[in-house]
Amino acid sequence: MNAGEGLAMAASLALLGWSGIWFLNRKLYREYEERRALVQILFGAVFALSCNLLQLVLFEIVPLLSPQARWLNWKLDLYCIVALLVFVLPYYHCYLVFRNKGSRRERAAIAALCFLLGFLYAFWRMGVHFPMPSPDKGFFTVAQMVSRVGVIGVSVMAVLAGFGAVDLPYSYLSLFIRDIQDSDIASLERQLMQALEMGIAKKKKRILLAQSEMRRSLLKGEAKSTSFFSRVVRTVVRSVSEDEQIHNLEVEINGLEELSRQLFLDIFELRKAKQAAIYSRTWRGHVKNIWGYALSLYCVYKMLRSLQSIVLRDTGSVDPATNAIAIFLRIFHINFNVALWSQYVSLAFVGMMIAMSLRGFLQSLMKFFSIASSGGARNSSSNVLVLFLSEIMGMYFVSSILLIRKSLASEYRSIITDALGGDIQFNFYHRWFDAIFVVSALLSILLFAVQYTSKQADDKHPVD
Amino acid sequence: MYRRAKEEALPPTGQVRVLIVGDAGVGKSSLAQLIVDGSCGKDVARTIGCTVHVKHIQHTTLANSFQDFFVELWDVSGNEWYKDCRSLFYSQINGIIFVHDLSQRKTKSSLQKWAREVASLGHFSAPLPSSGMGLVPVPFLVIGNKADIAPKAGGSSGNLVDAARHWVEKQGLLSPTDELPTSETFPGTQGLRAAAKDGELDMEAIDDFFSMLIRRRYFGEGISTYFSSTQSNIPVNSTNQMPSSSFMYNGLARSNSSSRYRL
Repeated sequence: MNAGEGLAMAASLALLGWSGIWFLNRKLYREYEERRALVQILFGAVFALSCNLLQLVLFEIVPLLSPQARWLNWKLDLYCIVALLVFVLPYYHCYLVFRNKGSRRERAAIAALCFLLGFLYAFWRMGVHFPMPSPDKGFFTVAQMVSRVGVIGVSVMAVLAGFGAVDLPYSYLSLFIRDIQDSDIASLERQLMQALEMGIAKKKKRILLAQSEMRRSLLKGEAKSTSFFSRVVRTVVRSVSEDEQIHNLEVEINGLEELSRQLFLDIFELRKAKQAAIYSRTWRGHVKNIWGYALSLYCVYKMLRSLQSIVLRDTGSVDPATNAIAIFLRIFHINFNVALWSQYVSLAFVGMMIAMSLRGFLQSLMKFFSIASSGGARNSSSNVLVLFLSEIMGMYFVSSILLIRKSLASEYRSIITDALGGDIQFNFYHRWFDAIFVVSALLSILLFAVQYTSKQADDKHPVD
Repeated sequence: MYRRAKEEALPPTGQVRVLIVGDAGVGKSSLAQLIVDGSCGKDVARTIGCTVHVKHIQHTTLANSFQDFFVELWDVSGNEWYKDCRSLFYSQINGIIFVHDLSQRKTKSSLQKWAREVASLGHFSAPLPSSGMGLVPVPFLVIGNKADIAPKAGGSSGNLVDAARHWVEKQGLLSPTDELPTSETFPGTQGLRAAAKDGELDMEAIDDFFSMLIRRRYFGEGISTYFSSTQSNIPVNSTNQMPSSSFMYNGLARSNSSSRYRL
């Protein structure tokens, strides 16, 4: 391991960190929220370390650096990312939450420390329910922490995969696209303008009432000739009726504003649906429709495979790439030197899987971020959101290492097993993934069914 | 207010409609609240659709009598998602307030896109003749918000990528992409600085803007009269006037005050 390799490693980490920060600023931060430099740096660090792990897997297949350099890189990366995920991020997360609520620095720091200790305890206790490396070899080893992080990460992966497997066909199939009439949209728009105009009229009335009340109280102050009693009566009678009027107006105004917000959101939904309907009639839309059918078949196939592997405890130890090649060669009766090419095919396969998984995750990240940050959340909570997403991202990629091991040919698996150290039960994670995948897919199907039927009901009885 | 207490209250004789547009998160709702209530809340929720704020204006006519008007501030959501649904709100516009964020340079350059959108989709009441007054056919105002957290000249915002880009441009490695809106879109060289959360806003300029809109709508005064008789018509009541450096924003001449900045 020489200085050149060390430099290359450091340079690649820096580059990955910078692209993480760039992604955060250009793609995730859409609406000019409050940003803190440390949050962005942490996100970039987690992103860099995660991508580095995936990069290292590729370097196993096509040996790029010397084995010692790779070994060192693995160990260093795992230590750093686990330290970030288990210690730094929860602490800073809690600290920011308290600071946003307005506490002083010391109080927030103490509260965050308590939270961190509680979190570590819960984190440790979680290991009771799952097969973990035995604690004989020490408490805070990388293996222990990675196995726990792996459980959370694998759950996240499975939930995302299950939801995605159902969501994609649902959005592609033309079957589920509703037909929206222009008149429906126009009538809703009319109602919205009416609600707005009524709201404006009431606000004007409220202003005038408030002014006349002020004027009256001014005049009252100057009246000296009337008796005390009649003055009291006049005060009570007048001010009660006017206060009550103003209060009623305020209630009505709030109701109208809420109504106009709701109508606007409905109009937005209808316009989106109308655009989807128009698109589905183009030739591109038809292609998408066919893709939708294919993907739904694939989704059903995956669910059945997962069920089978849970029930039959069948894990399989051959990686799909070699399998696919063997089948291919057998079909075409080609006499080929498999060993030479399998390395590169394996590389291509694993690389593609990594790329697709990375891209899918980043897209989900973007979607989630835009929904969460525009759902009425305040500007200051974007920092907390980014930290939360950094934790999820770190856990996701660490567990993808655990799972990707199965797809590697056996000679490449050893590095992962050695780097993680300890006796991590890899098969457990696959079964756990399959179980959560099936549950998540079923729940998503239920969710979409409910959403579809409720929208159908809405269309049949539109709001008049 | 006290002057009117003795007289019989005249009902307001009309209203003008002012659109407030700008990117999401620049502070349009906070500014609208500040203009109407005099103060704005700590955490204003994101606007969904459009919120209308109403302000009562006492207008001094040329005959030195008072007339009351309402100003409707239509605060439109700047969210990109709602782009197709927004055109509903662009009707009977008398004036526009463009808002951008002084700490995010991109919001200023996107005012161009906003001007184009409103100009193409909007319906204007009493539009100006299209003779060299920019894209938008009604009077407008440009306000730069968040002056309290805006970077000082040469500083950088919390955005690391923008900060790095700024540094690289300063070293001369990249040509500065000063994506400021062109002067054809926003003729006139000055805009306002504001910090809505701190309550810092030049209310006189806002009131003058509203008065001008009222005069245009109800008293039939066009912009051309302003070009000729600028100094005498407008009641200049700012305390620190420096008559030597006057400027125009869209036809309304004012003497300079410390809260202006070059567009």
